[in-house]
Amino acid sequence: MISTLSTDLGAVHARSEQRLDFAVPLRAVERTWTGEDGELFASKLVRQDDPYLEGHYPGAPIFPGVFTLEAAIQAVTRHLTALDPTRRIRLHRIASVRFRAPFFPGDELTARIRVSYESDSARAMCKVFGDEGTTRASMTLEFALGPGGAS
Amino acid sequence: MTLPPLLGIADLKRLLPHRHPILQVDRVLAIEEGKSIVAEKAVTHSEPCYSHLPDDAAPGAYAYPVSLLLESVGQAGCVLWMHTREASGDPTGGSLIFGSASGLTVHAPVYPGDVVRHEAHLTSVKGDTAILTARSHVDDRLVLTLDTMIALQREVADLTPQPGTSTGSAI
Repeated sequence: MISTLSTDLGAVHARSEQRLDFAVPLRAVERTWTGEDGELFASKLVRQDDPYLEGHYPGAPIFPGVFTLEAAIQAVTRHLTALDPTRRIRLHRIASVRFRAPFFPGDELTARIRVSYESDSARAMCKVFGDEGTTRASMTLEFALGPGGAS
Repeated sequence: MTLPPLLGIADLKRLLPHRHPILQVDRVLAIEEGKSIVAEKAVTHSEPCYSHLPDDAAPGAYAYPVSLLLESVGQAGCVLWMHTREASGDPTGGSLIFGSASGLTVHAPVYPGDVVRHEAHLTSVKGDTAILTARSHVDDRLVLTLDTMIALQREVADLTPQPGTSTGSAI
């Protein structure tokens, strides 16, 4: 049975921000918090000197759409890792992703994510907002959860 | 058998606005204009996505980020699209925009040393919008399938977010 996450994760999130133990194109999440109804939030300020932006594009930097996707992937991966550090978490499928508008240096992106999960998988429905509060991207991600020792 | 490249980096830089380190296609082995492309991306440990990993990172930590794999397969599809436009005498400038994708499945991880071979197909082109489908292998191992990707060609000035409109996000 699928249930919606409701654990208070403030403390474990603080720990998980110490290091990233998997390859990432950039640190796409700078701050995470949970809403009153259990939704996960993550934010990042887009900077002109973010990795890879020098080539995307020279003289006219635009945050690549896949980096907006990366923000959601990192937020959910960190969230699931915090829940059970012994489990191996792997993005298995991007069911859908839609981009409505890009982010530019100086913009802050905020992802609002609802995670539901079963014993060996998790599904995340994400919307990513800009400073003005309009939805700039939305996506549904599916993660495979390897065996672990904790709940 | 190793085929000589049909298009190299200089050609790719003519067809795509992306530059190092986010140019995620290294060479093109085959193109059937308006239909399909076979393109390769070599993953190396010297790429920026590995620079932060500590020495005691687990072997699985070196899996190439799925976001960059999607970028790579999307660029391969756009090379096909832009090469087809170029052959038809249509303009290839502006920004290439990632509109949407659905049904991307990661079948196996990709690691430094792997050469990813993308096979992308143009299923539809209408004006400045292209619909693509793709699958990717490392040797004979299937690593990624992508049911649908929609790409758009836009001028950078048209990308500023406007309430109630959809402009996509740069590929």
